[in-house]
Amino acid sequence: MVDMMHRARILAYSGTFIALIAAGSWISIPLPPVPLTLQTLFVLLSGIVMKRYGAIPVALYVLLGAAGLPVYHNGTAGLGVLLGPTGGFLIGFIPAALVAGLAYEQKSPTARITGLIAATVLTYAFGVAWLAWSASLSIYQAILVGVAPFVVGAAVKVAAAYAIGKRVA
Amino acid sequence: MQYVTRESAFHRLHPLTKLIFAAVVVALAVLTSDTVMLTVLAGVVVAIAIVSGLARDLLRQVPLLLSLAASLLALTVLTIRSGEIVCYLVPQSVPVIGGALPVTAGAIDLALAMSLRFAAMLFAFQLLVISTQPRDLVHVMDRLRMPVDYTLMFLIALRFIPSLQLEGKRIHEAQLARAYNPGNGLAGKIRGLFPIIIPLVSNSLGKATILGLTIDLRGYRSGRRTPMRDLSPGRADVAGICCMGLLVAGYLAVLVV
Repeated sequence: MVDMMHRARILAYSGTFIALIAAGSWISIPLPPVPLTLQTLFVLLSGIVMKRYGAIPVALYVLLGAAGLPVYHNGTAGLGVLLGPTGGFLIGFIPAALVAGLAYEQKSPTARITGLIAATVLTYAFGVAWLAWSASLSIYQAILVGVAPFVVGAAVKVAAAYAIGKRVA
Repeated sequence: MQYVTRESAFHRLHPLTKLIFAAVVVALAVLTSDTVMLTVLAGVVVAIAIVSGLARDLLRQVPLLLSLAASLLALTVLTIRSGEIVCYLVPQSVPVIGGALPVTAGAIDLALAMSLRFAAMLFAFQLLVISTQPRDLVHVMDRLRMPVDYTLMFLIALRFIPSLQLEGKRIHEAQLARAYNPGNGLAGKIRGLFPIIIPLVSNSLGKATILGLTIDLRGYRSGRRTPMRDLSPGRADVAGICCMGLLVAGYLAVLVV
């Protein structure tokens, strides 16, 4: 049974998650070879907590960044970032939050964990496709640049999202 | 970024004028990657801040901008090869690898342009946020027929970002005060995240629940909203819009020619 959220509560939660994702984009943990940001962790948590409505704050976050508010990674913003080589990852966050949210409407832990992994894979699929197209790389090169360095971080974040989700949802 | 209570010329402008100002600066900043034009644009925004006595608030963003500029420079120097070679990261006198990693004028130019663009956009938004009461912003966006739900979400987010940063810091200090030591190295860093993120997320969700109830209690769903005060544009707004018109016209003229 899906817990239908109140309109006012969706509103307040969305605002909170936009803020959390933005704050998470500014925190980075030095993890070799590339630093880990908490952006995707909060994207997953948005789906975990808000279920299918989790896509709303993520979509708004992408939109606000595109409009020029400094909410993207390291305080960047603008259409230029969204259309730049890494913009695919930002777009991928939206379906990722939706998939994680739909998975969290199920009770079984297997479904939930599968959903989180699928959401992460989806983010990288969007990211790599756009990276390959916009920087005219081959898919193999794009994976080498856009996925390989992040695999450890992504796995840590999926595990962390699941563990945190158990405590807060 | 948060509303600052103060009497300034910029505070007295109509929220719509300020909203248009931010939109104009973002649009102009995106239109060009010419460093001179972007310097002029950022300069105009800073000049407006100085005239309104809000320059000190903008100064707080300078460390962020500098670190952003440094990372952009590092990125462009390593990836872009165009224009004249200015110098080499590895001096030519070094044997074998001497002369590696050339720093080109094109790379420096691009990094500078991107940093200036971010500076202009960031300053413009900051001027808007620190000088406009959230409720006036909602009211004006409501008048523009923007869906009110999304406007409210946007404002809640804007209001929450600074308090989240503060709270994260407080929780971290509280854990330290309790002698919490997650250990050194990578595993420790990751383990150390949980005692910060879990209280941070559950606290903010608690706050959001209360906020949702409050919004409901104030009759949000009745669909009728009356503003506390209806602001009407004054002479300064007309002057401001005219100045912006001139700025846009001049900017586009230089861009086309």
